[in-house]
Amino acid sequence: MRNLMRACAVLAVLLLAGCASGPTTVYDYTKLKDENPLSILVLPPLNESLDVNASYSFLSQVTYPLAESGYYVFPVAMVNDLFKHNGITEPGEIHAVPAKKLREIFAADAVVYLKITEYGTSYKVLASDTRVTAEARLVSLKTGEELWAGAASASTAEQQSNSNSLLAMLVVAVIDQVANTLNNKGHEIAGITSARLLHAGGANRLLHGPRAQKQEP
Amino acid sequence: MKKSFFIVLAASLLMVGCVQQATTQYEWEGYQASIYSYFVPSKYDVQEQIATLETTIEKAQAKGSLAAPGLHAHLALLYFNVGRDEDGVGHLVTEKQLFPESAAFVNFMLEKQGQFE
Repeated sequence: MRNLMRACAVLAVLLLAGCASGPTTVYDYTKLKDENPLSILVLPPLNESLDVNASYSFLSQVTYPLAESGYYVFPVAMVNDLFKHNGITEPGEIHAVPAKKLREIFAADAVVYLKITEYGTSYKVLASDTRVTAEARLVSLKTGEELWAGAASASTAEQQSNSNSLLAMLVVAVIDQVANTLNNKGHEIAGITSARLLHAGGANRLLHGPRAQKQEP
Repeated sequence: MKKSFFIVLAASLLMVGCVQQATTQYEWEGYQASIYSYFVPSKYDVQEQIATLETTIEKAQAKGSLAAPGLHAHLALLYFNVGRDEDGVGHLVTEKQLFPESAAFVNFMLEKQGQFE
């Protein structure tokens, strides 16, 4: 009996510990709420992975989560062409363009700087795992200050039943059309990472933008 | 018997919930795939992309919704690339009408348009 009670106590403590292990720090949204940016310019991501296509695979899938969260997203291919025609081709060079210049040409409220830290498949004994991890910084083009920052990851090794699966399904529905022509696992996972990284809602995630139909609760 | 009916009912309601989750604010079909093809050329050819995006715009109009932000501008880019400049200019103008926050950029592109071929 005593042992049972002791076991129960241990279990209770473990359960409580489980509850407490949520996000410990809460992102300070003061600046984001103050500026409430409407239009967002997304620049080609820096790529730290070994896959040369990672940057553009990811960039082609950022519009959906941001626009569905209530922001205007400048047409990414046209924006990239504009840089290219001005002799700026590498993501690193594009990231170095001064905020003032970006504001002048695009009149965007904010810019998203992305970095891909993982993109690709690692082959393991039992199963291969395709993983895409990325970081984002939303920076005001009016003040140059950071409005929000986050990071996200997605992998083929995940269980279907995790808490993000609804969002993942939503994205997969869109991606299915892509998959017909491309059939590229990394690209598909990048779409899920992009949705987790840039879709509004949830702890420390981006807030909904001015065009959102669903406002913050 | 009655119990199983309610379980089925509850399950269907849950599924309806899921379906509603999947509705989007904008029409998207073909847009992000076309962006990807623009960067990483694939078998999905430009004429086919143009046709898909035009259909997406028609669907949006029929529903009273909007094509995704940037879609009209992207379609304009495709039109410029196949030499159909008039169609391109038309879609750029539509982009700024639907999303006035794009006006400065669209005007900049309209001025530069001659250099984009």
